[in-house]
Amino acid sequence: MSTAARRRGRRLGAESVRFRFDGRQLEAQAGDSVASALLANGIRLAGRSVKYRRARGIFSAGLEEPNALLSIGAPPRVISNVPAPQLLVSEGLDARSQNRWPSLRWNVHSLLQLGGGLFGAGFYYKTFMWPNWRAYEGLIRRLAGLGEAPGDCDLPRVDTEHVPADVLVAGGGPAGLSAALAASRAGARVVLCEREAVCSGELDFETATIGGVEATRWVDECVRELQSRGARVLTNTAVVGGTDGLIVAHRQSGGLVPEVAYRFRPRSFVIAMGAVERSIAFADNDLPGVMLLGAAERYLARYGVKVGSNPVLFGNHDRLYAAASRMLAAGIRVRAIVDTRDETQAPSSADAREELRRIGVECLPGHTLVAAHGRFGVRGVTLAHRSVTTERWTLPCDAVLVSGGWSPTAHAGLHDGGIQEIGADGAGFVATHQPDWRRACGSAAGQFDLGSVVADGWRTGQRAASHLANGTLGEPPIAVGDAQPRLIPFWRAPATPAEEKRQFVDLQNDVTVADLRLALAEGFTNIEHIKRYTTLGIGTEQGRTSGVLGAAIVAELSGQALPQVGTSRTRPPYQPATLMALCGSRVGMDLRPDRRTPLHEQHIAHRAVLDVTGLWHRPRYYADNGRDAFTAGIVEAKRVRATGGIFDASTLGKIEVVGPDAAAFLDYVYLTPASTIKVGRSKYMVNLREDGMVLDDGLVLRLAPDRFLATVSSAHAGHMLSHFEFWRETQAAARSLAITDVTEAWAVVVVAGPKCREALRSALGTAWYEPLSSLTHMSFVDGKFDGADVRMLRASFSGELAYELHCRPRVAVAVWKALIAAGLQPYGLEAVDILRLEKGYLLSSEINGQTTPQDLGMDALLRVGNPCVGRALLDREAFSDPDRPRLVGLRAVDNTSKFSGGAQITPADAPTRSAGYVTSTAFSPHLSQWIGLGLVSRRIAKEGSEVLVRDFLRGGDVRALVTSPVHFDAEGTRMKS
Amino acid sequence: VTSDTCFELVALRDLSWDGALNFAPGRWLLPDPTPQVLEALREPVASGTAALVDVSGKWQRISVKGAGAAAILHRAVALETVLAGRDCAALRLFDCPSVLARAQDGFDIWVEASYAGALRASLETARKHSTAA
Repeated sequence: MSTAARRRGRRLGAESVRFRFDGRQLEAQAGDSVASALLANGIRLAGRSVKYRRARGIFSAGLEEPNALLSIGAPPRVISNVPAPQLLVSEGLDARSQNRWPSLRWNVHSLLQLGGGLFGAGFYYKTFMWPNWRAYEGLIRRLAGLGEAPGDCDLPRVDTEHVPADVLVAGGGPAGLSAALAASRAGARVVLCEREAVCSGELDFETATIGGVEATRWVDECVRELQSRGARVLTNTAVVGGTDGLIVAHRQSGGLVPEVAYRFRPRSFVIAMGAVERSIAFADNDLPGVMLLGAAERYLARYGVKVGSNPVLFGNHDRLYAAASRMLAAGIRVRAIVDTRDETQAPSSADAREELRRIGVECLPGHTLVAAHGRFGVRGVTLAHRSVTTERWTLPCDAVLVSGGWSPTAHAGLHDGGIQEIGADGAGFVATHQPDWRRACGSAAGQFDLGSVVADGWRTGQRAASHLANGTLGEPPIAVGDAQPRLIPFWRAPATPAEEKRQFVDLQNDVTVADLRLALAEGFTNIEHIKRYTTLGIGTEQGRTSGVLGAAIVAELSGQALPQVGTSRTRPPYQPATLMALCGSRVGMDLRPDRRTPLHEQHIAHRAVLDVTGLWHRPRYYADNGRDAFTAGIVEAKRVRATGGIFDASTLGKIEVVGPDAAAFLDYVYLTPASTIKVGRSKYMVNLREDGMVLDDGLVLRLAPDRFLATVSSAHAGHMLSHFEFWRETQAAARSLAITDVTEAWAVVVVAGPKCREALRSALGTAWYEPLSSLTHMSFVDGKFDGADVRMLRASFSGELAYELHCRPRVAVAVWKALIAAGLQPYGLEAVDILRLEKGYLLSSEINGQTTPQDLGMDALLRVGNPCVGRALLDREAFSDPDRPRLVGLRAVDNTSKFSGGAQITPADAPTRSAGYVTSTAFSPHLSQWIGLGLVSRRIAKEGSEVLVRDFLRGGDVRALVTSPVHFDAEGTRMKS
Repeated sequence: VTSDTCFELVALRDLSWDGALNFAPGRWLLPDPTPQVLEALREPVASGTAALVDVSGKWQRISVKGAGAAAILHRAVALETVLAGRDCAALRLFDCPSVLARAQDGFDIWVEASYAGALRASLETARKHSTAA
């Protein structure tokens, strides 16, 4: 390509910008893309192919670029596979080519080309079998892949914005602008997304008028009018996909990483994303210097770059002649126009041919380009007449500008339903069967002459805003530009078998015509299978230039019509997106909100070490009680048993069930009936899943005849609310009851220990003396503290005399402080775990979704025989299997050994036969040994039997005795005192 | 702002109640209800037409006011969709369970109290982003 002086480009500013490419300092102009800047600097070698490491140049002027992919930044903060045409040059930018070593020009791995004949489709699957894949994996992984993955990367966060819109238009070319204008004039709230930095589309280079003015002026006026009408024109913003009426677009202004993820739920969605030009396969069509014709025109118009001084234009439609005329006007000496259509097939271009011939351009209708020549760039081409392909001759040139037609960008029309069908020209696919709210227009709908494109956009915009019924908008603006291309499909030049291995269909993945032929010969007939077998259309290119071309060649090779073959399914995102763009702005510690109890500040004041459980910040232990959780937990647990302590249980889930049918409903969702609970009393209750597994447990309080409070475990609170709602909706919809989450309406302070009654008297005052004396186990009473509601429930999760004070959040701190003043100290989760384990109370490690009431020893509850959710399936034979687990207590035989949760349990005489596992362990300060709970096969779950606790991860076997799950105060005398 | 008293009203049968903050079908939030409101609800509650649940302390109100209020909330939610045809909706705002309602010159958000700090932080971040944009 030429390094001739640049012309004035529409997108260029006046200032110079310096950047580096593969370490070389280069100069560009403001507004340049890296691709245009490389071309302007005479650099044609821009990358290496992924498989054969063949030399590749810039092939396109957009996102579809298969060759010139760049890496930006240094590891680990590297961003790979950035298409050079998409990346804006900025001062100091350091870009590197990919897939080369040691340098782009002198690349050792290019030797792989010598084995090109061997490396056909499926080469890896067939070859690396002996002695095994592992022998080759390291080398192949080093060679494979596109670019390098970022390591410890901290990319900027991507903001999310929901944008209201009546009509969303994707694409700021003539069709999109026309549609947006029509919809906006009809009164719709319009948002237009344009992937490029400015709206224009083909109008950048097409000689045209719209509405009687020069097309580029019409574009400017159009954008101004849209903005004045309140429409949002979002440039550098690509619609990347959609589902269920939600459309997502990413703003990516520098071409590097997305900055904003826009979300739209428009009433109407207009797809005007244009079409992607595709190539024609000929031998060595991957040489640097072979470029899409439209791309060459874009580089000339936008950036003033001539991509060749004497190019050959090769294609199958009339646009070749219009393009040649524009290039000649720009001072490019077009060497020849090779038109695959003969004179009779292309009568519409006869005048143009004559005119071009008159000024010395060789016009060759009915011919084909067979091969390109050169090493690091095109130096000539071989031509042949289509009807006599054995007669070939060469023509010197420095570029081949090829156009095999356009593939409509149907992506967004296929992400949420929609079907691909062959377009009117028989050479591309359009999205059909669209829902009412989505419609394609312009070249995205298979229209390829400017007049039709603008008119189609206008009509589509009108229809999109039809719900506003603001009268008729009149006729669309008259557009005059390049005429219908009158394309006659032509997919590949005639070739020998050797040449087919160099006829590249997918430049990015080195897929050749020979690969497609091989795949067919090996029995792959479906295009989806052929894609996966040959790698056609994978990677960043995603079949934009290769998809239809590959399908058409498959059709030709297999004797089918193109619609029969079809193309592979497209999926979002339309353009590569960083994972950060999918995450949104909230990542890491900000990913989920944290929840704090009303007593959070008190815990901080008492030097609590907090754990995040669920979303809650909860005190694990208090640092004043020990240097670590183990030490502090023991201190706190001992203190509770010795005198007393207070614990913040505000996270306990609380669900109020109210209404005349509340009792009947609870009878249905609990294993034992709630209707037998007396007002002022509570009961330990268990929920089952429909399959009979235990879901959760907790206390149910009867507040009034028609009002209950169900407490559920903190971790299951949300799930239990859904569980209740589900059964209310499906089985009790006609019943009168309300289910309300009141978790946050009550803070809960647990006061436990032998001296807690005295502390409560002191803290709460005389009004509570009588209840404190009379309240029996599992009873509650309502009262006031500082004018706010307080409910005192006598219940224990520690085995000690204990009360739960449910108080309104506004007085929670006052209650807490009063109890501290009364001499009690707070304890954390670590101590709770020790205390409950000593008593054999259950947590989620035992109620883990895989245990039945029988497994957990709830036989007494089962005997009640309440017909509840999950009850029917409890009688399954499998649940009586003697190998089903049973909850047991565990203690080391030697009284000193430690064992851990998760360790395997085997019979003592069969150490290789798993018979269960340890669910929880703790060091009991009151028994002075490690204790645990476990789920053990019923065959060996007999108190006093010996088992082996085997811990393969942490090491060591411990002989243990099976005991009752209740390790401490089995009679419950302490909590009932 | 935490209301001193707050109730959730739930219709158990057909309830003709046109109070504000109808955040879900048959469900209303009643922050700081006046005695007149409570009096009006006495009969429906007594007759089993409605249930009134005292949720004082459950919700905290955060107001987002001013010209940029919608832009801030658009960082989290499609306001027009959520509030289409109504003034109030229950939703998760920045993953926090909330009741969102139109208010004079902006929006009121009632958020479950334990999430209030997290929501405030998210709104503040969104404010910075929308200001920057």
